[in-house]
Order: sequence, then C-alpha cells, then structure tokens
Amino acid sequence: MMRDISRRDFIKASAMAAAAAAASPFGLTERSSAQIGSVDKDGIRWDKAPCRFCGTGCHVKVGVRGGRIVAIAGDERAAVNRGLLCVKGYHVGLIPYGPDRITRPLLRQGDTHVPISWDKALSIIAQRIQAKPANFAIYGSGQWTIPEGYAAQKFMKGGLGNNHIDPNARLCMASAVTGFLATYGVDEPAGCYQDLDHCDVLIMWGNNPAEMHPVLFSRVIDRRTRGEKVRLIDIGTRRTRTTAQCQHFLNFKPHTDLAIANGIANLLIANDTYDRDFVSRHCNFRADSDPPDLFGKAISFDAYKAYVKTYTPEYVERISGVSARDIRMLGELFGRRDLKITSLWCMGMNQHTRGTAINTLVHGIHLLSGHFGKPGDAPTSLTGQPSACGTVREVGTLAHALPGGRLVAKEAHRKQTEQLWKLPPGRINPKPGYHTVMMWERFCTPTDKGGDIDTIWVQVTNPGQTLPNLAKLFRPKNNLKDKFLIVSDVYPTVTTEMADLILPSAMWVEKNGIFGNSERRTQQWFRQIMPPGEARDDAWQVVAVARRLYDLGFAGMKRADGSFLFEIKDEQGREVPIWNWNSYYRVNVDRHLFEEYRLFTRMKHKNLAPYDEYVKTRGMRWPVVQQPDGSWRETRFRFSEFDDPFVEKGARFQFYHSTTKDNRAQIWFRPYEPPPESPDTMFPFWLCTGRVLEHWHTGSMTMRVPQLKRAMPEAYVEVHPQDAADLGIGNGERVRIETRRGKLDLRAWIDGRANASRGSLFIPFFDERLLANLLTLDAFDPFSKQPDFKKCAARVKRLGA
Amino acid sequence: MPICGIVITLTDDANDRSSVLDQMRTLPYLTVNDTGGTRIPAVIDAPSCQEDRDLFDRIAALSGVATLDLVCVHYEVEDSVVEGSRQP
Repeated sequence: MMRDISRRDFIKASAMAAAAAAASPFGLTERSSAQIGSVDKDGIRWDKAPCRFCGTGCHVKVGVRGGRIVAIAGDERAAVNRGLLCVKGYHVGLIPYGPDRITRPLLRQGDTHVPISWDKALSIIAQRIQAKPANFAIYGSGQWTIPEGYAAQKFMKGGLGNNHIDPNARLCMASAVTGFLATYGVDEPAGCYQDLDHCDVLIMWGNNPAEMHPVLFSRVIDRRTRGEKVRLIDIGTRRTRTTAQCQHFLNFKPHTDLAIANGIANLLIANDTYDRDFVSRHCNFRADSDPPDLFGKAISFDAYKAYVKTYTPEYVERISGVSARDIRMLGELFGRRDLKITSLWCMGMNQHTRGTAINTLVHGIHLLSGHFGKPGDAPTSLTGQPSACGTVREVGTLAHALPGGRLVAKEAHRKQTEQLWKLPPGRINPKPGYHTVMMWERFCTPTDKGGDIDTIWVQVTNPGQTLPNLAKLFRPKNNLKDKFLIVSDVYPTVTTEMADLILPSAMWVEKNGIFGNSERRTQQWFRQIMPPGEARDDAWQVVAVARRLYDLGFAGMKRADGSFLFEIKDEQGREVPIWNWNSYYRVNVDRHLFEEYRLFTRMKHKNLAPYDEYVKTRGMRWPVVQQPDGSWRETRFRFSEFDDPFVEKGARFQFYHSTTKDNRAQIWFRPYEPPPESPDTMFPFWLCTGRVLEHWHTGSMTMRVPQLKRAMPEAYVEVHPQDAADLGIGNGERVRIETRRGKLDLRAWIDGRANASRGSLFIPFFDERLLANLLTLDAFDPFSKQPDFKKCAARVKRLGA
Repeated sequence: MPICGIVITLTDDANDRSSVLDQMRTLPYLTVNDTGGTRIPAVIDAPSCQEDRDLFDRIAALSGVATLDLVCVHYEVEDSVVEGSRQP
C-alpha cells in the first residue's frame, strides 16, 4: 500500500512539474523523467509519435510498460504543440484498447461474418482483381501513413495500370488543393504555424479551431493572455467556442463568402490601399475561361477592377448579411501595411460547391494587399486528418495524380514514374480514375446499367458514414449481389457492417509510420506496441495481395526485369519476403518505401530529407535541403527569399511553379453564384454538418473512450432559440430533420455550446446511429470534385419529448 | 484512475485573477500551482473517469478561463474499459 501511495505521489509530482514547465514562457526545455528512448524509474519506456487524430500534427510521448500504453505526455520538444495536447490527444493512448477490436479476417456468410485465415483472405482479393483488374478500386485515406499510401498508389497505378484510387481527403481538402494549384501552380500552404505567433489579425473563414485545432488556437489565445494585441475575427455561419474568443463575429449567409472576399478586393482598389509594388512585380490576374478550367484565362488589372467594382459594401451586405460597416472594417484592415494578417480555413471553405473559387479569392486578397510571405502574413488552410497533406497531397493518392505532384494525364510524368518504379514503358494508364463521388456512384450502380466498379477495397476510413447522400452513394450496395466490398479497419463500423470481407488492421503505434501535417511537416515514428490478434499493417496487406497476384502470374506485379513490384533486399543483397508477415519487420519497410518515394519529392520542390533524419526530429517542413555542412534545413516560408532556398537571390518573392511560367501568382476574380440548393417553402432551413470537440470524425475511435463518449454521447441538432420557439420545440426534445434525400430523428439543442443562426440547423456527423449524411447533398465543386457538406435545404418537425 | 497535468490559460480580461484561482481551489481533485502568470499549471487526480471528465468541463466553464490544455496523463488499467463497442 505504501508503495502504491508513494508511486501515485511521484506521478502527481511529475505531472505538476510537466504542467509547470509547459505553462512557463520558457516551456520548451526538456522536463520530467519521460525522455524519448529511455525507461524511467517507474519502468515506463518512452518514445515519440505524432497524435493519431487531426492535421495539426502535435507530437506526443508514448509511455509503454508491459507491452501496453500506460501514459501519454505532450512532447515539449515538438515545435507544433510545445508540450500541450487537446482533450482528444489526452485520450489517444486509450484508442487501441476497445474490446471489440477486429483481430481476424472475417468473410460474409449470409447475414453474418465468419473468421477466415489471412491466406484465404488474400486469395479472395487476388482472384477478384485477377478476374477484372479494371473494375477494382481502392478507397483510401488521409489517415494512411505516407508509406501505406505510397504502397497502395504504386500497387494500383504501377501494378494494375488502373487509376481508380481516391482518398476520403477528397471530402475534406480537395478544394484547398485546387485553390493552391490555381493560384501558385503548386499545392500546400506557403506559411506555417509560426504565422500564428506573429499575426496582428487572425481571420477565421468558416473555421472553428477552438474545437477542431485547439492546440493551434490556444497558441494564439496564449499570446493575448501575455498582453500581446491580436485581433480575432470569426467570419462564420454559426456561433462556436471560437466565436466566444473573437472580438468580431461576422455572421454571413451560407455560400456568400465569395461576395465578402470580392468586397474586400473592391475596397482595396477603391481606397487605393492595395500593394501596388507587390502586385506589379509578383502577380497576374485571372478569371474563368469558357468552358471553365482550373487555370482560367488572363485578364488585365482594369478588367479585374471592373469585375470587383460591383461588390460594394452595401451590395455585399445585401448578399451576405454582413453589415457594410464590417465589410469596410475588413477592407481597411487588409489595406494597412503596419499589420500582419493571417487567414485560417478548413472545411467551411473546402466543403463548398464553389470551394476552389473561394479558396482562390482568399489567396487573392492576401496577394492584392501584400499580406503574404512574411511571418504573420499568410493565407493558410488547415487539414482535418493527420496525413491528408503527407499521404494524399504529396504522395498523390488521388485518381488523377502520381507521387510528387505528377499527373497521370501527362506523358512525361508517366515516363518519369515508370522509370523510378522500374516498370515497362506504357504500364501507367493515362486516363484519370474515378474521383470519390464517381467511384461510389459506379459501385452503387448495377453492373448492367454502367456500374463498372465491382470491387472496392477501403483502408483506414469509414465511407458508410462520411460519404454524402448515403442513400445514393453507399446504401444501394446492399442490394447488388455482384459487388464486393473489402474493408481494412481496426473496429467495426457502419462500413464493415456492409463489407463482404473485413481485414484486421494495426493502428497508430502498433506499426511504423510517417505522417505529413498541415504545415508541410513530415513526422516519423516506430512501432511501440504489438497489434492484437492477427491485425496487420495496411501496407503489408497491399504488399501481400500484390505478391499473391505475382505468384498467380499477374504481369502487372512484375517490374520490367521480372522482379516483384515491391522487391526489398537486405544489407547482404538478398530479397526479403516481406509478403510473409513473419518477415515484414525483418527490414524497415517504411524506410525502403519512403526512400523510394523521396525521389519524387524533388520534382516540385517538395524535397524531403532521408528517413533517418526524421527519426532524430519531431518532424521537418519541406522543402528540406541539405546544407554544405551535411545538415538538413527545413523551410518555414515558401516563395520568400529570406527563407526558401529555391527563390533566386534578389527576387524577394518567386512563385517558381507559376501556372503562367513567369514566377507570378494568380489573383482570381470569381463571382458569387447561388448554391445548388437553397431553402424554399418546402424546406425552409439551411442545414450544416460538422464535427465536435470530443469526437474525431466518425467516432470509430473516440466513441470507444468512455470519457469522450459520456461527454458527447449522441448527435443532436442545433436550433436557433427563436426558430425553436416558433416551432414549439423545447431543449432536448426530439425533432425530425428532413431533406430531399432523407430524414433523421434526433434531439434539439438550443443555446448549447454553439448556436445555429436564425433559419439554420447544425448536426455533427460523429454518431453512427444518427447518420447526418443521410441528409446531405452530393453536389460537388467542378474543379476539386469535393462535395458540399455545409449547406442544403431542410425542414424541422417537432416529435416531442 | 488517471492522473493528469494540465495548463489552464486565463482570459486576457480576467480582471480578478485571485477570484478565478479561488474558484479553482474549491474544485475537488484539482491541485493548482499558482506561479503568478496567466497560465496556471495544475494536476487532476480524480477517483473516476467520469469525475475526471466532469472536472475538465467545470474548469473550462469558469468565468475567466480561456483554454484548458493537457500536458500529460498516466492511465490506469481500469481506464481502458471501453463502452459503446459492438461486434460486426
């Protein structure tokens, strides 16, 4: 007993010391006994890993004793989170331990799933692919590690010659990608999280970082508590915990953010406060071509000026509901050179049928005003998944892409890829595959009616909950007996429920991994605990199927010299049979895949360092370039001469992947246009969907942590108090929400932690028992193909207590 | 039961700092270490997961508290008894 008490007191003292160090302005010093790579005196072995949840990329220290995670600590050496964690990060160490982990391959037999061997599972998959390789698709994830995504990408595009691979990130950040491409000719933010430490004004465009990226938000709040003046502006459609910390809340009507951005541009020109020097030296102007494409047509400054002139503050007020006074306030702020302005956005701007357009407009007002490329002056998109940037955007696990920003449609890019993968010429298919909505639509369409995807292999995601308009894009599969759904996952979900074959996966620190976060930071970790039962790495699953096909004589799994597509040799030059699970960890497969992938990253100046460099660090932001002394230097601010090694001396700024090939970025004009579905007399409310603090995405992990489940046990609908009063709805009463696609009964929450605007509703999507996506619209942005989960027309009916 | 280290950040307009700290000191299972700044290190040692979680909410709801960040947690075996799970 005494021993227990003293141990508890010791842990409490350590926890207080850690908290005190983190609270200190000098909190970046190493503290406590939790040293990476060491065993503390309590017998806990500590190692590093990025958090499993959002795209922030906080580093945690994982404490393992007896093969089990027993402690988690924020990593004080991690520049991202400086030792702090949010409530989800705090619980990340519990997520592997749900009692219903999937531990064996399971095959559907009638209405149930029965255990089968891995050998049989691999044969089933290989035989389906061999029979119809062109009708097979992989649906992946921004939660894939970089090596996992790279293996799947190579398997599909290099092995099957089939480009039907797309990720769930299509649903969350594809419009950010097209926004960056259309503006700079290359993807991902120019700035980094240090912008949050330097900005005088932080504008959140339809963004709620207080709940979705809390560690980043608290970084800004901390500055204010230390007496720094930071002006926070929330441009949103509902009041959230973020709003509560902001000096300004600009409540706009859904979809009208384009009018607001054009209104700012108009004021910058009308007031002659735009940055004439920056614009004349570094920017071009662009508008949509006919027919529209991602790169549009050139227009003159005068034409741009004439376009935006319509967007007077009063006109913008009429469209958006934001007062002309507040529009002028934004215009004046952007017109000031003495301030530094950072814009943040995430799903609000991306899940939008005009997502590419609003992304380009926000970049445009930063460029027009010169609020770009200096610490604190940045347009920055955030991501919701831990490796949406690393695995999807950089590895290119999209239906049209190849690793390193290459495109399947370009012959030169295919040739480069075929050479690096040692494939025979012509192996890679030039035709882009199906993007997410199209892939699932084809899968859910009968084969004799054009449904030419007959098998989908899902890894690390839960489309049965996250696809829009589930009644169209997921549920029909149940009645199509020739369609076959394979799901690799860690827990049962609504997707595994409909699966024909379920494969047990290893998760997070049960395997080696590498993620890439929202600020271009590549982060590595090693396996620290063993996966349960027969659960295995997703990358191994792909390699094992590839080998099964190779053994069956499938030509695509052979390189030009006849060797195996995923051949890995040991230090003695002998091939390691990594397709056998017992041999998989004889070599570091992640290291081999990463070093191969790294060769692609130099093509668009996204250079990565060798794998072993990431082992030593808490991540590095690309481009990472080797210095004369042999060290590797990361880049914080791209396109800026003071920090980006690829900017020529004297250029100050250089957009070296400019779409106009003149080192200039593009300032776009894109008009406000009405959304595809708006409230009307039948469906008089706007419906928005999204996330909550406690649960990560579909809740498949966080709903298995009791503290989180109790804190937020079920989905609800936010209703404005006046709307509730008009409809006679009391707090907590059951209501029916109906759209043209489906209906859902759930409880109303009035004046809760967030507040819907008048005429609007909000439903979170974490609850698998109350599927918000039975209601949502599958209309998508024409360029990014990203659906709009943030607005559709709905009606509400009171059901009673 | 878990023991966790936290940092409580006060709002910049928390004009009565000592009153906020006094309110914190009335909360059960919370040990506050006032170092004089606006970021307050503290430790939670609650007897159950539920009380641990409830305490987070009570701290976050206090007037004058801007954010609550977690620094470290030591789990105990019973924390991993997980609800809400199901079989496929």
